[in-house]
Amino acid sequence: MTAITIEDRFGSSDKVKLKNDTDIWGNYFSGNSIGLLRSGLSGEVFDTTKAADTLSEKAQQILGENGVQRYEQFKLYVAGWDSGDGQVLSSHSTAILEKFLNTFDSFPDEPSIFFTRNGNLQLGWEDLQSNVLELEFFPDKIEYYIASNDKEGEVDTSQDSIARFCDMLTSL
Amino acid sequence: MESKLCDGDERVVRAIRSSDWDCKKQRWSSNLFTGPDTSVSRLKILELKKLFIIFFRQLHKPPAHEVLAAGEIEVNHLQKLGNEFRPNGKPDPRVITVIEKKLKDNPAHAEIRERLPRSLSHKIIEELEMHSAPSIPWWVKITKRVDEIIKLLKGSRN
Repeated sequence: MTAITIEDRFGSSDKVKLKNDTDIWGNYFSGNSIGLLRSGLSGEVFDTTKAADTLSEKAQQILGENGVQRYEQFKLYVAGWDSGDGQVLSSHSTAILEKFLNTFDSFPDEPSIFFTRNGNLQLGWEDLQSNVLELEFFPDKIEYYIASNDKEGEVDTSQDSIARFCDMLTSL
Repeated sequence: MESKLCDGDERVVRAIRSSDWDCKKQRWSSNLFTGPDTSVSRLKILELKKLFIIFFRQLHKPPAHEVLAAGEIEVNHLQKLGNEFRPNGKPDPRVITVIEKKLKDNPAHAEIRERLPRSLSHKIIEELEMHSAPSIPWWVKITKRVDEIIKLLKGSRN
């Protein structure tokens, strides 16, 4: 399959299928700085009643440089970013992401972080059989999609529910 | 006012932005099509080159928020994917409606009305034909800057 390249110009863009194994635009963000990150959360038990505006050291390790850079960019989005509708990053969503990452860190590869028009963060990765897993962190719930069993649903954000959910993810 | 449905044989494109695509990891978010009211643009009305210029003017705010590509699909195919949706092997057909919704800045604008499951959204993403974003023409950069200055001036007057 043909890789998409940033050098394409009007009138010459190739139509290509997804799932290229090429590192498309691999250096595209390389010029951006990551910004200094501070976290007062590392090494502490995460307090989920608080909102969070920074990622803990553990979350940064799991997400990797690319994920942290994307998170820092999402923080810059202003209200209305999605054709007038997008909300700014919810610090409560960050807090729930942190809570999840404090319980689950069995990712085969660095997960990807995405941003939704509701101001929520989302994680996406693949299991060992290359099946997609996707989680969206709402302030009061986590919505999930697990491609290996074609299951979609949600869990509340209590520590027990997240722990059970993480056990289920680990067993996949 | 009654909304007009787009024809089945029309092809539409969805702007793909950095919020939905991790280009380094080559992963996509289901957000692209979960909706509701997912914005698409009709190639029957404007060619891709002109649509990219609209996407740049409306959505491209680097370095944080960038238009990276556009995904193309036929309305009929989109509806077929909805009709054949079988989560866990159980048929759960979904109606997918694409309605014309012209905007002042984008006469080709349309919307997929329904909220779709994440799994169906991923299936749609797999079927997209991708067009990478071209370089931004210099005059688009200038007109964007002028728009920003006008906005600032309006703001300082109020």
